[in-house]
Amino acid sequence: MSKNLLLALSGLVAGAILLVVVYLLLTPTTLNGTQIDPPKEVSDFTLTSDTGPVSLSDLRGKLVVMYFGYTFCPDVCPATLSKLNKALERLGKDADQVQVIMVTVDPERDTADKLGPYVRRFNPQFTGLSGTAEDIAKVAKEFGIFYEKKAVATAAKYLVDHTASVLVLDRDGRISLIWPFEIEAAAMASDLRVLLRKR
Amino acid sequence: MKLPVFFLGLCVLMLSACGPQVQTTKFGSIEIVDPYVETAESGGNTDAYMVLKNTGGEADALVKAEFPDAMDSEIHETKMVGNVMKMTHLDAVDIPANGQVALKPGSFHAMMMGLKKDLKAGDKVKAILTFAKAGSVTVEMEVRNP
Repeated sequence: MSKNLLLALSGLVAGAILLVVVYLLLTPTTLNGTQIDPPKEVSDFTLTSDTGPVSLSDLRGKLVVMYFGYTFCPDVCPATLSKLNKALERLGKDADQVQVIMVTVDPERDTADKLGPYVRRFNPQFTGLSGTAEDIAKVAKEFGIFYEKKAVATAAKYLVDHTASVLVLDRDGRISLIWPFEIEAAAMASDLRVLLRKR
Repeated sequence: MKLPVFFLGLCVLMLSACGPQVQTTKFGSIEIVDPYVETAESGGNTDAYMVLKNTGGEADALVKAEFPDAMDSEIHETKMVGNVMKMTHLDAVDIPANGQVALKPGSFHAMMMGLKKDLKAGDKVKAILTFAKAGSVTVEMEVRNP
């Protein structure tokens, strides 16, 4: 073997090792949210969107990002939906494998017809789900979401306190990650990339 | 040779310094800084945010925010207690003497309820802000995306 060939080969090997190291350094493997390990199984549910009923089982194969809120409160809900949209923008084409769902904790005011256009304002792929008060209560309980209607003596009539965390379900519909309200879009996108790599 | 580059850099620096101005309305000893509301659709609700500075030696308070473009309005405070978002109705937001208070997402806000029209990014809405001591003032608020 000529000296030159040997030199070229060792250069190639060194280059390949460098690439792998750089790839590993740039690829996040740790999660920013709270990982649920093992992922928590939840029972299937069916709620109503403005385009028809949606069941959790319809979404197998996709990561499902679930957020519970209400449109009457234009504070943390728009902030969260806006961050989720920015996170999906960061994913590019991979955003197709993620479904964002907002479930209302105020089915009285948030009918499916009202919720659909509301969530699509943030991202045309977002889905808004409503249902009967009983159905919503059942789903919230299953997902560990607290909410409570509070009467106020003003035009608002009532406000709803609610858990502002965001849940991420793996491709099999199991809760695998919980994001606090404060999490930023970049950290969300990084976590979604980690979960998307798991098959 | 290097001098023109230096001057060019200096010009860029000066230009960037006079970039977008933060809207400030002075009203007695109250300054209303960067007031804005978020985009929303007709019939819905949205929040108004701003920083209120008090340059006076006496405490004041925002007691009312009225919007001709909304049916109703209320002052609220959002607080995160653990993972739970709690919203409460307030009669006033205190502005300490020689201090300031920020109305911002996840904290104090003036809520516009029952919008009479769509609010799109770049639009302007009028707000009549009433302070306990300083009285009432009308300001224009820019509409921004959340």
